[in-house]
Amino acid sequence: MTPACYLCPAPLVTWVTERGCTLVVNEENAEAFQMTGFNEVLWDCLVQGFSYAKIIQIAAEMRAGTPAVADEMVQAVLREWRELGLVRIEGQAHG
Amino acid sequence: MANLVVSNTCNLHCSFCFARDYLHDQSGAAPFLSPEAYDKRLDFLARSGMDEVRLIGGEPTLHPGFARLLGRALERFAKVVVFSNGLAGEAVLAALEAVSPEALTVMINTSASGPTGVLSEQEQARRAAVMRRLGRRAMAGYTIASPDFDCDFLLALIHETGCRTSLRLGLAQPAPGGKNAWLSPRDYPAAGERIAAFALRAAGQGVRVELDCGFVRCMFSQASFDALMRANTRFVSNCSPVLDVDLDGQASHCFPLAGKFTAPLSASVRAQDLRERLGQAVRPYRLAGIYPECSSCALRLAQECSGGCLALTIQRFHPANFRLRLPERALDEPLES
Repeated sequence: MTPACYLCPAPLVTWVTERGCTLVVNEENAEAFQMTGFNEVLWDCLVQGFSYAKIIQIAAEMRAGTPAVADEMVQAVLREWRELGLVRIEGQAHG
Repeated sequence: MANLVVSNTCNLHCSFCFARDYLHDQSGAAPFLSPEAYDKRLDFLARSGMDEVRLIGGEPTLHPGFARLLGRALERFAKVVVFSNGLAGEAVLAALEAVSPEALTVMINTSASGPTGVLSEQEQARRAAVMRRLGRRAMAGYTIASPDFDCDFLLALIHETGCRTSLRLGLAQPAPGGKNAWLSPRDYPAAGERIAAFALRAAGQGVRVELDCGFVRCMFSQASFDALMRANTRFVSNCSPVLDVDLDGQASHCFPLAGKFTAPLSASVRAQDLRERLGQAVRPYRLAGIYPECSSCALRLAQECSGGCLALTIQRFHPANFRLRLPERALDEPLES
């Protein structure tokens, strides 16, 4: 049985769209992150509730790259956000 | 400075009051600060090096032992400031009258007018009488909850009662639950124009306007700002932890942020420690302001504007709420349970 895994925000993370950036705050450790460019688009995709496939498609179009390259880029940013404590992985077993 | 809540009850319940939720939430608890707890609060102020005691509520003058609170404060501190709706009873008024004007300021919110927004004639007469008897001990305040506010009546009231010839204007800010009436930043420019025009009229009658926290520079056009300066208006765009200490001994950044950013008043903590702790907690939100433009505004970066009320700023933020199903290849680290 393969567990499904989900990317979720850390519990006390909030965000707001500013002029020129998206500001993401993690209240738990009192940190703020100004997201611009690719990272800002990726964050926006997450809060819009887009699927992973759609995110890869958007990332590929944005960077004029192949889906494989876009996948690598997205994974790299998500990994960085995990390390920063902005997002976390939740596992869930299939029925 | 720090404000001590001594009463969580009020006889007016104004629509704009940012303590409304607090008063409601605390309705089952004892409504007044005990003498023992009050003395501990004074100890806190003393070890924090403060020279004044600031009493708030609810309506602080409803405390049944108000005269004793006042006396205890003046035994240990040079000055007392009371934030009141100006409807104090006779015993309280007598206690206030007995203090010299140099040692006492009673900030009377003249816009406090209950849930209907209209004071009865009796209440209006009482407030005027209280201000008259307090004389220079009293200073009028007014909370702007609507862009078409009108506080010109205050100029006559100030002169007629002989209270201080200064007037403190505040902006109605959202309570933690946001259920009170507060002025939307969309309405700030319209309010700014009226404030500037009023400040000039006030100056013409010898009354100086002082602006409370939460005002932003961009709510005033250059012409309006010049008018404010010509009227010698006190304008400092700031937003820093005031420290409101509630009946339960919890210190908050300020009432509008009560319940979100609080720290307990321990036996040894000083105001500086609490400010640092609360200031650290809200620090990430300081990058933003009440408008999307604030984070990249030159006035903000030059520290000429605070970006407005932090409660309003935080209200702009959305809780992150997403759940993205990842493909198996996406992350190679062990799954969390």
